[in-house]
Amino acid sequence: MKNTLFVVIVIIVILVLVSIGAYNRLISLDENTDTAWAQVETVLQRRYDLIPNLVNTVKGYAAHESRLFEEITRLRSQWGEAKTTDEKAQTATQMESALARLMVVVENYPELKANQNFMALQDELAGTENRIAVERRRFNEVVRDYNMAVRRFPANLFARAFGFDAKKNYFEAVEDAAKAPSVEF
Amino acid sequence: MKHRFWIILALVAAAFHAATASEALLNGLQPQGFVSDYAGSFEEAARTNLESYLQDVKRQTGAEIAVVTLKSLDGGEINDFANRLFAKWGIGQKGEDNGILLLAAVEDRKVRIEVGYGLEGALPDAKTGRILDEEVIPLFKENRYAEGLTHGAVAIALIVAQEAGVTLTAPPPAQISMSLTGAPPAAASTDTGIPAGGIGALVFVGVFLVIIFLIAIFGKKSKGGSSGSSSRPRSSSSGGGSRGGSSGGFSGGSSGGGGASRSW
Repeated sequence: MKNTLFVVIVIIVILVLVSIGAYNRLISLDENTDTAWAQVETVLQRRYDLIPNLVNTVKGYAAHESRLFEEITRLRSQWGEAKTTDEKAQTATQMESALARLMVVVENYPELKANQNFMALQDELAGTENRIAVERRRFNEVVRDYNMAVRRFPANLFARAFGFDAKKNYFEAVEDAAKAPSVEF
Repeated sequence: MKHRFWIILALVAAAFHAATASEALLNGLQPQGFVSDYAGSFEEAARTNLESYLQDVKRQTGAEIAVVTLKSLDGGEINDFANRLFAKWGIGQKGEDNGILLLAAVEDRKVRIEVGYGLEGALPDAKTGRILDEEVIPLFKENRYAEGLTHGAVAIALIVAQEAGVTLTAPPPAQISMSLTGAPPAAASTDTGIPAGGIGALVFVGVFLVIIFLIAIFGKKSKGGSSGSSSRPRSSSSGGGSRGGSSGGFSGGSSGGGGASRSW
């Protein structure tokens, strides 16, 4: 009789210890995704700070691309209104493709391309896009770690009990943003 | 239809192979000092010259400038590769993040300057682009890779020294144009002919002591913050495990994709 009581107590103690460990691990993984996302937002903000300057410079040479400018301005204000992570990721993706189109349009204006100020802006934009790619990769890596942890046995049991999200979304890149669009005749 | 399936499969397999090949290349790279000449672009004398110059730069400013040549990235993309290599080696001091990577893939004809977080203020992307355009690419076009990289590294070193408020005592192994730094090259400070007479020697010793004194004061002061315009939070917690770390002579710095790339 005493023996069974002892065994039950030992089992309970082990369970409590294991669940504390699992809980703390999940908390730190969850925190990592938040930190990584904050980094993503910092570099996205950098992109949005760069846009007015870029658009104004391009406007001076390519005034009749006004529809593209309007779209970029609209997306920029959408970014200000976006609240959730998914909304922000979505506007960021749309902005990425709009900017990629802008840089293609620019190819038609040799005077603009030779402009010193524009050349500097082009490097700043390329650097910003690269920073976004880097932070996006790091964010996706920690999301992958988190997703794996919450779905693996036995942590998945605790994850549900402690109310962790079952799965977090990755921040996907635009498929074709980096490539120039094909010319159709 | 069936053909298309096999073509797509082959393309996917090729892409996958490329990714893993460049991954394997990256994992095998170990620093050989500040200059890691995997492509064999440097003559021995030129390499040791640049190596000792970069050691002096590190001693005086704390900044770590890594120059790396590779034959090819084995299908990798230079921006991504440079950032991963930077993280793997941990170029720059931990916490200061004052490292720079100048990476050339000779057969791919791709070159990149990747800037550590702590030097993004001194070396904004546009400036690194200009260094490549004005100092590196013109020489690369004549297949003078070692000279191009030496010019690029000296330009970077002078700007870093200027930011740190330090006058480099080592003579630069290459003369670069003054327009990038906005200051005359640092060579003049020591290498001018020293008169043999007693007064000349005294003046020289005096100047030398003043320089040392200035370095001691400003060198310490400027270590606090050289973040400049970019006010990014530096997360020191290692997230995915891909950042931090250090190996070889480097001290655990990290970068976030700042800099510029060119092909020639």
